[in-house]
Amino acid sequence: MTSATGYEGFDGASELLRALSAPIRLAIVSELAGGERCVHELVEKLGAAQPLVSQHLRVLRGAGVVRGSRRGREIAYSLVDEHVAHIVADAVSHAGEG
Amino acid sequence: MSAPVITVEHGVVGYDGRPVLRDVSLTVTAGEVAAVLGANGSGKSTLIRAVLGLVPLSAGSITLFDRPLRQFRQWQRIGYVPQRLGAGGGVPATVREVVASGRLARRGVLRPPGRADRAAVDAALRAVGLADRAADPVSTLSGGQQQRTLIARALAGQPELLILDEPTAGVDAASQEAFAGALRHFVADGGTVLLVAHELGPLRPVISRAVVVHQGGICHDGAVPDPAGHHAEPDHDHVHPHGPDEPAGLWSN
Repeated sequence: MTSATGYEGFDGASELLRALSAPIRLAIVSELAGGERCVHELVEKLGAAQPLVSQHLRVLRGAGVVRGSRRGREIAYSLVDEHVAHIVADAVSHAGEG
Repeated sequence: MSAPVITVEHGVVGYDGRPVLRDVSLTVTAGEVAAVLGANGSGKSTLIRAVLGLVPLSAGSITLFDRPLRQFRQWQRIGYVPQRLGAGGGVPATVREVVASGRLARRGVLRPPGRADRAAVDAALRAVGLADRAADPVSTLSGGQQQRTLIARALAGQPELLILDEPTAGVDAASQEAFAGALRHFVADGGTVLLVAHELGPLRPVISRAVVVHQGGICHDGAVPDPAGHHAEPDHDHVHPHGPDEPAGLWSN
């Protein structure tokens, strides 16, 4: 990694914040902070159609925020790292929406 | 009829500094069936993903039903069928079970399925012509019937806006006709449709407006253009990869 810019170290954080840039994805992370959830549970909680919730989960999975594991007929999602839940909670509190 | 459902103003999307959408503006009003056309890599799917909040804009704004996207919460008003293959995923579910799952976002956690849910599921199955297959496992259906199942699932949620990504790609003619009929009913009942397509086929008479995307910008917005060249042949297989530099002339003749 030889570059003149000197801020390559921020790439990962930028990617993470991009994945967290939609309110509905923050809501998913907040929900998963309470434990593992199946897709249908998130659909009921968020009131958004399953394909849309699945696409948002794909964004979060691509950024390494969540992971899925098969639970019977469904995929259950959980946070890869609890730390992200704290980042989101801090951001929500900071923005005064908590 | 003229209330805006989707408004994109000067929308810009970039991946890693590479612009995918450049300064796109588009308003879709209630009752329209707008088709976003364009070659692979033109940015047409990105436009839809931006409208759904799946990719962030780096400039510009998006409004859904008069609410800025960032404040929009009423996602149950939107039905979405992503580009995909197959409905089963190896899961042993019946057609009816898959379609009924489209009610979840509307029903909430506590309320068990009731009469309104069953009526909506029945209507959705009829709309796509699969009422007689309701009890069959999805895995026994053809690809086109599976795609119709997914569209019925979206209709079961009784959305006001239906967003479809390549709904007819690789789908047999009978299913395309059934799908065109379902869209016609949906719009007659007051719905609005935004769909992405590579080619229109039997959908053509249902489309009220074509938006052609080329190299990240809108190069045509209005009447549905005539297909040109070999793509016009009815037996042409459209499910093949196109290069990113395919000319817009494919659609604008």
